[in-house]
Amino acid sequence: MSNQAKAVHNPIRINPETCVRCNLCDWICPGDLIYKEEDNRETLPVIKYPDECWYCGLCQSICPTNAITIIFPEQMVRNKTDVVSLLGKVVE
Amino acid sequence: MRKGKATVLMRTMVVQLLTEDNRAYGALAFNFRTGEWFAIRAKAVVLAAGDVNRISRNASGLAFDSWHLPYNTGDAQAMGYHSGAALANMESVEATLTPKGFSCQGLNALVSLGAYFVNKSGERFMFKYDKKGENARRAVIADAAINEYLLGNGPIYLDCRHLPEAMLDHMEATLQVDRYTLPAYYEQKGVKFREELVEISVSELSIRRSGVYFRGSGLAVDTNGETSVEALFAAGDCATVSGGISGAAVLGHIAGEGVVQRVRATSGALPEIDIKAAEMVRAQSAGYLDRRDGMTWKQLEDETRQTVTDYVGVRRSEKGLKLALDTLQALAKREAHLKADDLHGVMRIHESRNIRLNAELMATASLARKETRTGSSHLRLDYPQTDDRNWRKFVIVERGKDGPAVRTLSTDRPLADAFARNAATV
Repeated sequence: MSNQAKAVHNPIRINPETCVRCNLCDWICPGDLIYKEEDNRETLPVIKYPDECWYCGLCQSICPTNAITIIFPEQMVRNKTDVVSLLGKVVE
Repeated sequence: MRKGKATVLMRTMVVQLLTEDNRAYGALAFNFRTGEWFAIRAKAVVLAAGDVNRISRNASGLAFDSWHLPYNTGDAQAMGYHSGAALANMESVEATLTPKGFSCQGLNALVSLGAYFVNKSGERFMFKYDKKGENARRAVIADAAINEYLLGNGPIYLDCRHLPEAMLDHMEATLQVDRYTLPAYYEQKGVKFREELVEISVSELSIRRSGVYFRGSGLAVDTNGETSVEALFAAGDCATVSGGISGAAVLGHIAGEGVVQRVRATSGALPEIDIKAAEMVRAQSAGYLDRRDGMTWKQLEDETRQTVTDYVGVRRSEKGLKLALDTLQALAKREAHLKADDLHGVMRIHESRNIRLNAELMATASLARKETRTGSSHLRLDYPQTDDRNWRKFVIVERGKDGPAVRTLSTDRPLADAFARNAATV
């Protein structure tokens, strides 16, 4: 499991220096990806399901200290997919 | 809502409706953080859970990278179907054009400000398809790009280079309006859209509407927003009257008024909750957590997406659709072996099962409509023409004895004429 988790791209980078551990990112994420222990100002938010991110940036936009950066993975910024492969197979 | 003294259940997913004698009286739900279950009784139920996404593949191959909200997974349509509600226009799919690699909104806004689409030869091709060029309807633009790709004229590009500086400034300043992260994406990709062509792709599909505003796909509703199941209402992209956020707001208001009427007309006690049946729903979810070996929701979804992309997408045929139905029905049998690591995974399993069911409904309706309508929203290679003589009809899908059953209704008639609860008055 830990090897698999390492291979998954994490799109939501939180700066521990500026994060105020406030819970807002956990609260606003529409995909239930971000988990922040409530009422504990010591712990950072955890991106529990990074491969389920919509890349909407709501967490980044609500963060009161701009502690969040969205990082796009390789297959999004340097995409090599043949678009025709998405357009169906002809079955006669 | 809280101002109106409503109880709001956060992080709670409704998984089943409570119905008796074609009347809805509540729902079963669970909190996917705490695992707490709720059995809710109501005089009326409104479904407003949006369209169906994560249903076909896209360029990035990331299931949650989608044009529309990937957490809208046809839950309302699936629960309505299981309760006996009729659905219409489920054969229609919608796609759009996106920057290649990021299925986001926003390209159409640039095009309406004067950007062009060009193919690999630099040809501004849209005028071949519509006299309005790039200002044609979204469905026409998507169709044209699909056709250019199939003709071997891809890649397709967005071209802003001819625009005046002031317009480019305006575009740059408003790039984040449709998708907040689009400027960051362009920056990380190194795209300079003012000076360079931007490669674009056709997005994944969603079941929402057929490229025509207010011809929505989903739960058939009457003029009060009520489905064929009494006291069960639907509004927004899960209903047949869909038109984006403005349409959802209007229909939501209409459905709200319909609910008030229905509640006022409801007298007598609501049925008691069948605790045994509710316990079975809860036990099934607990079973996902207990199972050690089995299929993950990601496997179920990947197979569904590949099947839809290959055989139920923008090039359909009888043979392909039957092949898809066989695969999707075989997948349904494997749902009994789904497993989850945590409550979040249980939520995703419910979503994935709903996606698979919606794919089956889409394939069933597509097989029934033996014509092509509104371009790639329903393109049958074996029936390439639009057949107004025989197919000015709704295709209605609903739960039959052995799975989805289909019937048709003339579009000259209101959809409510197809409702069992109105059958006596037809």
